[in-house]
Order: sequence, then structure tokens, then C-alpha cells
Amino acid sequence: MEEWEKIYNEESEYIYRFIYGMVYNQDDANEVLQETFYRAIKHGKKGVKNMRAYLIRIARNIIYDMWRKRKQEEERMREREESASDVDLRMDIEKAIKGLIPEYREVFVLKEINGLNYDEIAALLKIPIGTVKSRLNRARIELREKLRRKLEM
Amino acid sequence: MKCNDFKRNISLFIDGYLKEDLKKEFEEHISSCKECSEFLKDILKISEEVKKIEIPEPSPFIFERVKNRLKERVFPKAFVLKVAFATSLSLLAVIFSFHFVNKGREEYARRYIKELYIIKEKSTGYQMPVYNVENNYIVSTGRSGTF
Repeated sequence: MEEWEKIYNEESEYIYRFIYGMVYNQDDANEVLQETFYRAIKHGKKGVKNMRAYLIRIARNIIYDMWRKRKQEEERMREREESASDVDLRMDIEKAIKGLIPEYREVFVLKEINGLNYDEIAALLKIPIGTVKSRLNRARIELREKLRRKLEM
Repeated sequence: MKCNDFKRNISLFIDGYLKEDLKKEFEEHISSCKECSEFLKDILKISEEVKKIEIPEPSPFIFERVKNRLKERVFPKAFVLKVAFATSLSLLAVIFSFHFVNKGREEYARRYIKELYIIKEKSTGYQMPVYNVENNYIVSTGRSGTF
């Protein structure tokens, strides 16, 4: 258990950044982080070469399971017409990220919040680099379209 | 470079993956197309703002909760319930099997005696008194009775 505690101290903040970037809810993020380490310890470290990637994959699966249980439409929170009073750009960006479909959102979060490069994202998600490039590009274009008016202000 | 190509390659440009020959075309397009130049500026602004988003700290109790859950796992409720259920079923199966074995023995004894009576009656011509088998004991029912 001491070894796992050390892993927790080293990796939890990084994993949490990914989780929070996906769910943007502190209670959910804490729950997912707890469940991530619970499953990781239960499963064990045998055969794990990259602990960080392993933990992110577990967290990702938990998030997707959570979304499946809840209604998809509620989780995506598709952006409606913004009210004029909503002037905080960062809050708008958070809302806009939450409005991205999961496949775009996770690539965007791993790139912009976790700072991974294309190869690392491709290896972690087990998708081709071309898919990483196209999803990231679409995420950025979609965010720009959603936030266009706010960015002009 | 056309605007569609520009938008398709914008991420490669920002993240430093665009090949040199395309990069030159890209930069030329930025200087000649106001709309695409604004587009790039907005994408960079979003990237900048995302990095400033304050991500809260995770709860300090998470690892303790994980350890507690792992301790509970040694005797989880579901596991105990399953074992109790399986044990009860096994006990019931044993009890029923004793009951049916006894029934089987009674039936076997009844048939055995009947066969003996038939043989005896045929060989001696004497009508045997009828007996019954109850709880593994042979009891007389008098002259008439059934097996």
C-alpha cells in the first residue's frame, strides 16, 4: 500500500486535471479519482509499463460509464443562446468544452490541459495519430464557432 | 492555400507539426486573408484561456477512502450474502436428499416384500398375511392391505 500511496501522491493531481477537464464538476471529479485508484489498486500494477497512461485510461472508462448511466443530453449540455449577462470568458469556455462530444473533448483536454503531444494522445487512446489531429482540429473549430461573439468582446 | 485548407491545417500549425513547405503557404495566407487571420487569433486565444482555467485541488481524503473501501472488500456484504445463500441451498439440498432417500428405501422395501410374497404364495399356495413398510419397519396391517 505504501507504494500505491507514493503513486497517488505523484500522479493524482495530473489525473485529476484530466478528469476535471472532462466533467467540470468537483464532486464528480473527486468521485472519479477515488474510483480510479480503487480499481487500479484492485487490479494491481502487474504488466503496467506507463502508470500515468494506465490511470488515465481507467479514469476515462469511469467517466464514460458515468455518462452512460446519466442521460447523454444532460451531460453534453449543448450550448443554447448565451445570455448577455454571461461575460466571463473562462466560464463560457468551460461550458463550450462541456458541449463538445466526448471524442473531441478528451483529445482537447489531453492536449490543452494535460499538455500531451499527438503521439502520446494516440498511444493513450489507442487511436491513429491522424484521428488525433482531426478530432483536435474539429474541437478547436467548434469551440471557436461557439465562442466567436464572446471572443469579439 | 484556400481558406478550407487553412482551417484543416490550423492545429498542425499551432502545435508545430506542419511541414515546412505548407508552413510557408500557411503564413502567406494569414497575411492575405483577414478572416483566417482572425480565426487563428481566436483559436490561440481559446488555447491561452484554457490554460488559465483554475482546476481545483482534489479532496485530501480520497486516498483514505480508497484504503477503507479496499479493507471492506475482504468481507464485502455481497460476498457474504452469496456465501450464506449458497450454504442455505446446500443444506436444503442435503435435507431433501435424506427425505427422498428414505422414501426410496421404503418403496424398495415394499416392492421387495411384495416380490417375496408372490414367490411364497406361488410355491406354497398359502396366502400370506399382508404387511406394510413404515419408517423402514415392516408392520402387519392384518389380512388385507396394500403395498
